[in-house]
Amino acid sequence: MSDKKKVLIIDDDPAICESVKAILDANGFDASFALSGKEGLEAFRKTNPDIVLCDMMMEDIDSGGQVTKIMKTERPGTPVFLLSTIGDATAANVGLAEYGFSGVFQKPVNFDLLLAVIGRYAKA
Amino acid sequence: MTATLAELFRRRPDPESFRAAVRALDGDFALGSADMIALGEAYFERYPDRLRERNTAEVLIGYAVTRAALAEKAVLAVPAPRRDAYRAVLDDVSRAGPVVAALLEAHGRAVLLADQAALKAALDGLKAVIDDIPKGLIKERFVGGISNFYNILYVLGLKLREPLL
Repeated sequence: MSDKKKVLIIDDDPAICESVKAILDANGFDASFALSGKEGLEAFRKTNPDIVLCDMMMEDIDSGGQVTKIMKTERPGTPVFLLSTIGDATAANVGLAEYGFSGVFQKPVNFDLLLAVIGRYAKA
Repeated sequence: MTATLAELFRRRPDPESFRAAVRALDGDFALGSADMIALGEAYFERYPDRLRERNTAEVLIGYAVTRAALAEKAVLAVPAPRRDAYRAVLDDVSRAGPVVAALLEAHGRAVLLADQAALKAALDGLKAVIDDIPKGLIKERFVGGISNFYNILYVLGLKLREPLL
């Protein structure tokens, strides 16, 4: 059985999912992705990921937030990070804590930072 | 310079023909923030967005439209003979490995590192233009569009750091 940490990427853009997965896999994670909030929730329940990276705007403008609320209710210990196309200032005002996000990474994502942060969670 | 990208988009029935038309310009088009906004407006005229039960296929067309324009400007940063190789990678991250292997064999690591730096500078320039677009859905499509290119550039960097076989 692999000891790689599982990361679930939830984003409606397949190109983003593929490229983020490529980066995570190359850095020792076991990444998978889902292309909507609904699929993401199904994948979360099925694959039991260690970390989730989630877009906000998918089938609904706040799908990421709604899905995260459910994931955090079902498994409060799993860190869920927002991958956001909205600005940092706006992100601070959309209720990140209310949804239960552990943090936000602004797109374009600084992967040196993201890998350092999720690496710390993976070791915890 | 002939038609604007917004005009080109309005004349084209689908995203693939728009992309082909943009490609045919070989980078000879304006892509300032006003041009991005005009293109975004043309796109949203055809594919209006909504808050609930959004049409994902139409959202993805938006990213494809922005990427068609951004890719052509980005690849201008590298010498013409290598632009098709980088176009292929920007279009599909799974091409990164084979393309880097082929380019390494043909040109060596120093040339590819210079290409990578040139592409990064080009993306940074385009990102600065996108930053000037007022907050909203047009900006969101362009940020989503360019973000994948930054991701792919990161993957290219990873491939370049892999030891030679």
